[in-house]
Amino acid sequence: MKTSSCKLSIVILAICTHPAAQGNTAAAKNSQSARTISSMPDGVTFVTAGKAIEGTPELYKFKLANGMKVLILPDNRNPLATLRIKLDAGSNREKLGTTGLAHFFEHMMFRKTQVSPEGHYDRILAGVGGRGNAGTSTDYVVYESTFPGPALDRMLELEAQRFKLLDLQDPYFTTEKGAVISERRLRYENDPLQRGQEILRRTAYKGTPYEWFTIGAKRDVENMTIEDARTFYRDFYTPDNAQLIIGGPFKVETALKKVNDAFGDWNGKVKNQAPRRAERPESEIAGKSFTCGESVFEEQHTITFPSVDNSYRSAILAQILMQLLNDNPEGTIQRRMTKLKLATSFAVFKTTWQKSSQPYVAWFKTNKQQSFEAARDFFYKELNAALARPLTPELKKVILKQQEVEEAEVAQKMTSLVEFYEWNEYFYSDFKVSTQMKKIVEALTTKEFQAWGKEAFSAKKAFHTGVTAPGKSVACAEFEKTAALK
Amino acid sequence: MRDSMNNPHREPSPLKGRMKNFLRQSGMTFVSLLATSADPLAATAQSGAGGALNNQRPAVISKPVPLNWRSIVWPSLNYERTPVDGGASLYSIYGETGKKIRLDFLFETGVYSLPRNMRTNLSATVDMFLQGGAGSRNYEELQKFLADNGIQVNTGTSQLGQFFITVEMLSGDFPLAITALEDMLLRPRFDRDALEIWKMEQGDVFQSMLDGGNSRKQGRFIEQEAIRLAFGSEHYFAQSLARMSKPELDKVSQDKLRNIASQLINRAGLNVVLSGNITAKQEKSVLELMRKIPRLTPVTYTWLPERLKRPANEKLRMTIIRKPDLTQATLTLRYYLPNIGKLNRIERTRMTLLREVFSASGGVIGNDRFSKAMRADSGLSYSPNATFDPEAVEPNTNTAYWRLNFQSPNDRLVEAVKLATKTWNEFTSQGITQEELENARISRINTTLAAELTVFDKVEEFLDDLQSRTLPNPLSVEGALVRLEQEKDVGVINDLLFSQVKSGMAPVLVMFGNPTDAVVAKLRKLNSVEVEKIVSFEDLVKELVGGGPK
Repeated sequence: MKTSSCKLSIVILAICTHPAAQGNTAAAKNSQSARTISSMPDGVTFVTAGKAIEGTPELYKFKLANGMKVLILPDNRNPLATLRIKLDAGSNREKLGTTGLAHFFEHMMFRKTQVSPEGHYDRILAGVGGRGNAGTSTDYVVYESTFPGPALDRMLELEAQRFKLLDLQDPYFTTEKGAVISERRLRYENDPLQRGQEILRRTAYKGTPYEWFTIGAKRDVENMTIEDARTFYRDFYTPDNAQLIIGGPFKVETALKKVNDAFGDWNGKVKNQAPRRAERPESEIAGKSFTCGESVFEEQHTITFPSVDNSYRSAILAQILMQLLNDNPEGTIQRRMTKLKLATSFAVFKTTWQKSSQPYVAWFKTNKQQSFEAARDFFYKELNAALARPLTPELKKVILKQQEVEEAEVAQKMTSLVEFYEWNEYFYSDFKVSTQMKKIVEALTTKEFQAWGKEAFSAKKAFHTGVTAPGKSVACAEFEKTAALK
Repeated sequence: MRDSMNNPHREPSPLKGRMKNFLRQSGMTFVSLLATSADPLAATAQSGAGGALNNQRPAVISKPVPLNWRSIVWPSLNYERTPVDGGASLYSIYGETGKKIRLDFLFETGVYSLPRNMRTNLSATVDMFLQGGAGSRNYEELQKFLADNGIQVNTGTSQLGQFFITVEMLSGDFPLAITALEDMLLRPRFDRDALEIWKMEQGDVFQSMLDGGNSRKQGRFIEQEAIRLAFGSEHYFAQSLARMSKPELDKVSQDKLRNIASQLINRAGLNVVLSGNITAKQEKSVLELMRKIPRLTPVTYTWLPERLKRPANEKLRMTIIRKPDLTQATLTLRYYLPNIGKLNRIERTRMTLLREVFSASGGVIGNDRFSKAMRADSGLSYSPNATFDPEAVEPNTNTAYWRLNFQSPNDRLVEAVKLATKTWNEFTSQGITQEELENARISRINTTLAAELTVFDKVEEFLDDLQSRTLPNPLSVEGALVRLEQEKDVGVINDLLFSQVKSGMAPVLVMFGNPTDAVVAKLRKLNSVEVEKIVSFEDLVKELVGGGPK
């Protein structure tokens, strides 16, 4: 039903977890699953199997001889299949001067290979009745397609072609550059909020993998060369840097053989890069405020609390904190801020979609008449109050209930389940990580939580970035010329 | 990323739903459905070991192979209808797995049964059934109760203007959900302070839109200007933005909300759908709630949006919205068809195939005529997409339109307009080829097997039928497949396209960008284009702030 509507939903972090800790049971199932794999291609290693949500099929994890990680979810509920290939080839792999390359490259993956002409991928995808897309982030690039299960052979072959034999050449390279420039204009250049954010990021994240937007700097995109792209392909589009997951109505052994047939001869080793610092040193960034003005009505501010704690536990604790902030007779923290005319929108979350660092963030939207400082002060007051409260069984129950609802959503569709597993495997190297949820929540003491909260959300180490309405701070176009940058 | 998020026309399969578990029920194997033995790619795969792929270039494009859908026993939609005295019905749709339950109340009353000038008050009423508090709980208490118990509530109006409320919960929380729903339907509070907060929030949303800062916000203005060009400034849809302005929000009052609510909550014509892993006890409690809803005089439409009155076959009339900081323009090119009347099922199938050739899946897959021209071959536009809508001014059904959306850098605007119109003109003058038809037909058939449908997806489709006052077709999948399969005569399909064009079109073009005067001068020189209005974004905003055109 096409609708216009307002929706109230449970506020949860973008992370999926499960209350049912599996522990030894999971280990037992793993060994049982390993025995049930009747045949495996030469060189393929069975890693583990199991599930994170009761009532759903088991996922099987393998490693091909070339180092490629393969996850298979046999699911017969519908006739469709889905295929997702995720690589650690996001924009954090780029260098100054060739920013935007990861994303540009993603576009080129839809064009021509050495064995198929321009437009072949889309023609075949349309022919089998499938749909496909891709996305690039700071920390990954992902290619996804959904298609009728019987087309699995074809789709694997189609995917393998472009991962093994992409043909980067003109006129397609130059033509595609036009589309990328158009995308940049659409999403960034012509959006004053994004324009401002891009400038602020160059300052606040200087010297880290998050210094530039994934779309890349304008000049870099315009000057991108085919050779740049070939180098990126060679260095980072390698099997040991890729994770493939498929779900659909097939047997594990059959699917595994097909995957190995298609990708087993993919060669290459990922280029090891010199490690970059994940965050700016505290001495450079703590307590700083970076703001600039753009032609926006609604200002956007973030207080960032740097953290290199990438543990699943820290994400759960951030979720508990948000629940504590929301648990108030006067309404959720956003509602309270709205009522007090402090902000139009607010959230607290952990940046779970980054690998190098996963800062905690307090995110505000304020309008022209509102003062960020007042909203910030209110947040800190509420934060301190929340961290002073005991973790009651009722509160823990609500957290677990939220997770139960989220899981019920995920379990409904095979494609959702595949995405859920893909995410957890990629960021936590454990597709069953969510089974730790209940144990973490139940074992957590008030004292531990408070200690974590005080450390994680220490105002002393935080920094602020904000795109304000014009006139409230230096114009973003002028910002980089000011002392603030230095 | 190939843009789909910005594409509002990403369509589901034309076959839509009713496939869940047909695989299991039919007991069939799918491995043979897409036989690819004649496909060179299959041969490539067979010889692929040891890098044999390197030796084949380029591969010949094979024709897509249709699935053998006739071997499948397609299940009918499984639902039960329980009538309730006073003109209401409960439909139970059983989902065999999963923990969730969904409950939809679709009322007959809504946008087109209330006075037209009450639209903003209606929007407030719809939101305030939830946000205004209910029973003994104010909004904050209600919000906490729902969140603590994992209950999600969604209120809104359907495409045909009817008021609905949807509640989703885990099965075990059903009793809590039904009590909250009863409060919202029968004891809404419309608290005055909550209404003031709603107005404040709506005012912020409106103000935020006025900076035109991103494509979504710009799209609202583009839509408004396209409707104005085609239907005039007084048209109901041309005033959507103005209805969000402060003068309109100021007219919203608690009394009006209560009055509207007393008309909305009517058992006459009420359709309720209970779906998921449901029990007889739950059905009973829903029926009890339905019987508590007052039975009022049955409602009907009291007005409908105006039809297109302009003469057809005009030149392409154009509005330019200028915003100085834009480095590229976003454009919509629309061909309204005011004389084609209501399409029958065969014609709709043919239009789906024509659209598929012109813009596959609404622009998501990039090898169709429009995206090839505007993106793959020219590099002009990031997300060109086109769609055909048989009901441009729904609920009226006589006017259809084609909508072509694209972007262009400022220095290539004339080229972009020429290319878009040329691609369209070739399409409508020459039609499609037999090969294009075959590929599109097979693709659409195969798409059926790529559908993933839960019981709740079926409910969406079911509600579409209910709001249109039609009953679900138990053979909808087979019916759609048969209709697709029989469309093998490209001449017949092209004749439909040609006859529609001949029946008269009202073409309009809206550009939201920053063209130079020289570019505008070049656009004016194009024979087919008539630049009717050039307006600064700033002036449009000023007009809106004042409540719209006077």
